[in-house]
Amino acid sequence: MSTGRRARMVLPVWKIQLMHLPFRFNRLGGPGFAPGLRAVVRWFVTVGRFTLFDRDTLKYRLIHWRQMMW
Amino acid sequence: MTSPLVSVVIPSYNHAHYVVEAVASALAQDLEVEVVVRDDASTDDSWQILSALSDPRLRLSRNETNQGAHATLHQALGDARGEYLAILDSDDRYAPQRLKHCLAVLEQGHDLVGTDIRLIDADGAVVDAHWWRDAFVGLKAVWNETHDWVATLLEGNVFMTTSNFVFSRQLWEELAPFSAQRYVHDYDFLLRALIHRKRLGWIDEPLLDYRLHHANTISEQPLEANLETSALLREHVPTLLAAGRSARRDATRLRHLGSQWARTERYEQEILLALRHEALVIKDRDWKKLVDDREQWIAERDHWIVERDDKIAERDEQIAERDGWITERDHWIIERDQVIDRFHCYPLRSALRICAGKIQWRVNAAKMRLQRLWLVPEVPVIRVSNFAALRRWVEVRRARLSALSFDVFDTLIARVIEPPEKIIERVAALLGAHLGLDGPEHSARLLKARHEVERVLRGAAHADGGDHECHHDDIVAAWVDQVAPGRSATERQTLIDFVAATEHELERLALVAKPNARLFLQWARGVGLRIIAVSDMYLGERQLSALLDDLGYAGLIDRIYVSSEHRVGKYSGRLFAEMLAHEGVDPDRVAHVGDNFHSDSVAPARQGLAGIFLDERYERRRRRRQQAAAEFARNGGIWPGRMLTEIVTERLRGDERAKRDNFFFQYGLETLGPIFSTFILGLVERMQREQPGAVYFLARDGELFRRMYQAWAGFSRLELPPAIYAYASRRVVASAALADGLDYERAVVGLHNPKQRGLLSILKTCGLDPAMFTELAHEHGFTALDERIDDWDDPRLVAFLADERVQALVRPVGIEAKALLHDYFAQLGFFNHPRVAIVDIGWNGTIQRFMTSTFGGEAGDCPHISGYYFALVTGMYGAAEPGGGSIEGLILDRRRGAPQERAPSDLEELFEQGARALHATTTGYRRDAEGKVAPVLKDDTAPDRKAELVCNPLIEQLQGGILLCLEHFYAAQRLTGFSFDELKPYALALAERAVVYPTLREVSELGRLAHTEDFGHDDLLDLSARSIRWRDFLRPRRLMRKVALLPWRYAPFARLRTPFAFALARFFHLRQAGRGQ
Repeated sequence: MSTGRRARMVLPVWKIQLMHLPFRFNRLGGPGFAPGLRAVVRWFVTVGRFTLFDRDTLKYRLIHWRQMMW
Repeated sequence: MTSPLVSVVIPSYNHAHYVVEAVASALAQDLEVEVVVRDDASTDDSWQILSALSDPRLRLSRNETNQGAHATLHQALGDARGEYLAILDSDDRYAPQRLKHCLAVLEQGHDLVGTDIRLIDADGAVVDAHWWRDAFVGLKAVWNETHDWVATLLEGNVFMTTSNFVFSRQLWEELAPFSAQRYVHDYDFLLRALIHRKRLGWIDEPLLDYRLHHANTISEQPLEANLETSALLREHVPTLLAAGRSARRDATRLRHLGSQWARTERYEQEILLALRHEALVIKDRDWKKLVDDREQWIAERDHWIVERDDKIAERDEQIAERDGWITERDHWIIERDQVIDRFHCYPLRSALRICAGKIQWRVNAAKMRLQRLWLVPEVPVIRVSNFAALRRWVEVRRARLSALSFDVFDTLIARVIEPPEKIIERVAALLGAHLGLDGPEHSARLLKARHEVERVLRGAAHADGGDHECHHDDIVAAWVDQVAPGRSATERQTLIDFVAATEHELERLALVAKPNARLFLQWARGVGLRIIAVSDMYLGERQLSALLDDLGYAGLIDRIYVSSEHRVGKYSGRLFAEMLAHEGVDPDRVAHVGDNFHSDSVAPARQGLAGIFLDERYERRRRRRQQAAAEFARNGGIWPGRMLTEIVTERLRGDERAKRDNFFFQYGLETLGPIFSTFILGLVERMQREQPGAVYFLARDGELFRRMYQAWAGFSRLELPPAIYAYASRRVVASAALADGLDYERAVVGLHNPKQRGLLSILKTCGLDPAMFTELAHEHGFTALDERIDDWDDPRLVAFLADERVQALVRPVGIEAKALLHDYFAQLGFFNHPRVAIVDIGWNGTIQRFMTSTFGGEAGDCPHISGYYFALVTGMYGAAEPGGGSIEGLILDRRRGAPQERAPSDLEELFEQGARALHATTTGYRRDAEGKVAPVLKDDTAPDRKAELVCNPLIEQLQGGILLCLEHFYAAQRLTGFSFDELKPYALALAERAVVYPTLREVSELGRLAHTEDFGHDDLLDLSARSIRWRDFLRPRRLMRKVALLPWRYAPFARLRTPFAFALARFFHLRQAGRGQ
């Protein structure tokens, strides 16, 4: 699947947040499609956590590094 | 024929075993006898046996019904013709010389004679010891002692039985009949004989055999017999004693009478005691049953009490535990308060201490992890980043390898939903719905039960010496037993089958084959390597094999080893050991490949295999994305929809049909597909809830929705109301509404078109011929029919509509159109249902409103119509509900006042184009020769239709993409269970992106689409965007005018490759949103 398709179907969270801003600034916000600022921040934290602490990769890197060193 | 000398009378009743012997003993007498046998309707074979006897001396007769012993004896005696009579009961027998000896005594002047009696049993053997015999001997002793018949008979009936009676006819004629007593009629006969001073005789020889058997009369009712004896004595004793002539003899007689009386009284007392004893025994038996029941109840009660006490103890434990928690919590609160107090007093020091504590905790955790890693033995760790690298690795070592072993999940097949627990959650929810336990609280309870069952089974497997592995079948059976106890075996099996089938179906939807993995396996088999699959999975080998076959791995895998079958896992290395033992290969000739570093690389390496860590970047990122999406889906808002589209995109990745290089197909698949699919989900939910008689999808934009609705019904196998496609348009219903004339409300519908041409638009929208109204229009001041009317309250228009000549021309057209419209919809069964649903793309619900106003009313036969629209605006009719029905816009409904929903109304043409049928718009109806009404479509030669025909291939591509998206959307919805309301926010975001934030290519390609408008004109609606250039920004009025005339006012900004242009577009958007337009 092309990255274009992903981008069109699974909209980036920041993009949805930006798209809803006109409604927010105009005090017409509501349930609509606003993801919520706190949720967006949490999203990036979660994705970052998953990226940084991928268990299998981390383990492999450490053991590989240990075998290389000793 | 001379009369016989002696008649032997035998009354017979149910003595089939003895009667022949009795008759034979009578016939065997050595004198002339007549044997008279009368059967009292025996129910056994007595009569058949007697009938078989043949002797001229034998005279047989039979009662048709049972008359009783007394009557039968009398009838038999009446039949007797002898000078002397002898009675023989059918179970007794005579000695051969009996009658001869008796006759000798009778001829000496006696009237009745008896003999000694021998007691025999049922088989004819002599009985020596019996109370009956003792009684006879005692009475006989009295006779021997006194030789006084009165004294003897006052002691008792020494004759004992009527069988012992041989007497003269004269005696019988004097004393007949026997009394009616059942037990003492013979005794009575004897006493009366004495009273009549008849002579009794006795022979001291046993010439009669009296038979004892189970049905003897004497054993029937002893109390009754004694009572009869007492009564008999009271009756006859005064007469007998009055005849006494000697005081000594009278004293003897009185002594014997007293003796019998005392005996009788003793018997009666004993019998009464016996009867009382028997009654007590019966009562005791009944009471014993009650006592047993009571004992059982007491035992059950005690059991319940024990159970109750256990539960109370358990509750007390829980309370104690809870109290412990509360105490602990209070302790924590106190500690926390102390920390807070300290923080207030010494903020910096406290903050540092808290941070140090947290850091220390994390350092300790990291240390432990590192220590665990340090314990990993020195095994070679191999990593490949994809299957191409794996192939290179294998090619180098091909000669040393004989088999390749693969992990299954995330290595050969990928999941479209993470974590796998989501499938279990969904199975629990579906099981709850199946059991009638809808709701998240029930799903959570069922899920908890499943976890508990799985925990117990895994613990049991570990206790048995295996790893923590258990089988899917065991889990399902134990789970069903726990959540639905007390079911019959059939119901239990049905539930188990339901759970197993649901889980298989969901797993199948959640898994996609990795094409590169399949290609690799084909290559590896081609070079002669044996392919083995080794998986840590609770599904059994059978289920896993079926899944792999479904995913295209049939014939590519030689053998599957699953931890659930072998009860050992990969992580411990024991499953690899089992695999090597089964395969019979050396470990160094096998390489195992998988995505889990420990289970698929370290654990096999410990067993001597080459453990290859398959570290695919895309798969890693996919898992992260999906896990994050699943975590956030609980928040609601856009997140469920975003998670669902994550699933759809992953499914599309493995679908070859999605790889079509066509913009419109991809646009339908990616952009319109999720939005329309969400709409269809909402429609299906409403159809399930409302259950109308039928769903009518209105031409032309309902065509795609009909196909999607029917596809959904096919995927889900739901019983949905039938879908019917109806050719209709604003023009045909507007014509039909003219039957009552053209009023102002209907007329101004034609003026809603932005390109309206005044009266011409009104007439064309209503399907009227403009030429008929030209002169009348001139009379009312119109210079030309196509003169634009901006003021809808124009007095000329009001006067034109009020003109009766105008209405006279309008009504016939309306009446004919109404009849055709009615007949067409009647053909479709529209009027056969009390409730129907109408589905269309939108926008004002004009067709529904005209239908209800035309066919409704008090006398109308219009059903209740529920209109479901993709988007509903309030431009023409405001917020009014149509009479006789309801109306709802699912994606957009202006009446809700939610500005975020506005995107579809900003570019109605885009959604109309996406949904429209390929045929032309409906301009009217015609009746054929058979009377059937068929739609009349716009001519293909019309210029706007020609443009439309050019676009039709593009629309086909677009709708092909939408339908493919629906298929995957359904699978994703089935996996997640999200409802329309949960998915709608994300669909709105997609619509907003498509309409307000198009890409340059989208603007350019979608501009090729065009279709005819539905206002009666031949105008063409196209989406082509006139370019706006930089210089237009220098002339704002011109820019505004240009933008206002565009059907897609955001499109031109896509051409300007600068953020400023988009910012300007957002500005307009913001302004419109602020105005609530």
